[in-house]
Amino acid sequence: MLKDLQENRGFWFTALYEITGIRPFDPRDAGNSKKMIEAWVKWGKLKKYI
Amino acid sequence: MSRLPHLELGFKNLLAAGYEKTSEQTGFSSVKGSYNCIAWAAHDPHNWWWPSEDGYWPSWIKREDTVFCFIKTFRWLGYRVCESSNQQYGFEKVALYAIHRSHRPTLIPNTLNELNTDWQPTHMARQLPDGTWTSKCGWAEDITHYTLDALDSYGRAFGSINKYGCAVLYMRRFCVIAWMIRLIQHAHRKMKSIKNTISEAFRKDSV
Repeated sequence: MLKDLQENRGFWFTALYEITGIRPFDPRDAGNSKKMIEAWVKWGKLKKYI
Repeated sequence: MSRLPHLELGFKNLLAAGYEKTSEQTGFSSVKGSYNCIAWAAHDPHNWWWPSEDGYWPSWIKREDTVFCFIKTFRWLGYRVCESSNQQYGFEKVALYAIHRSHRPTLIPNTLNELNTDWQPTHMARQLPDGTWTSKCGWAEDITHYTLDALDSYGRAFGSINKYGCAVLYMRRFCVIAWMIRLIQHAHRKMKSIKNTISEAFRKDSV
């Protein structure tokens, strides 16, 4: 999912939230897909998932 | 990764969000040399900062368990309230956690006045240069957590780990100001330790 989010901008936000229970972006960025993708990808890299 | 079950039990998002232990436990406020989250956010790991009678707090700021009191104190350290937790080049950020008086998840109000009256400050985290956050969890270890919501927690205290609520406010300071303030803090600590050494020497002499 993270890979798809990074490469194809797949809309995985809800699924990622349901699985992890976290939102790695600032609450004010909710709805801003570019910033949300950036935050999820950065988090995925920190967790070494991607 | 060295896991910290006492923290994972208190903060249910912590494991999923990701964290790393960065220090050993320092103990409660009564232990000499221990420090807490506010001290850690303020770059002062020598005092237990809390606006209570037994805590350390800048003497010129009225001690109140309110959001305004924390804002006032961190303004003295060069921080100003800012809009978001996003990393900004040239700025150092801290996040203030607070819990609604009901201890339940509650929508964060838009105004500082509402935050001040209905929310109780619980914790502070400091942003690291890579955008992650560092926290000292009360008496427990320092950790680096990858997201701010890693420490979101509600309800009553779990054992000796308090519930933090969520990050409700962010403050930032320009890096040049940060260096200057840290230099002043360092000089202040040195002066204090010299003063203590001298007074101890005098006391020994008089005995």
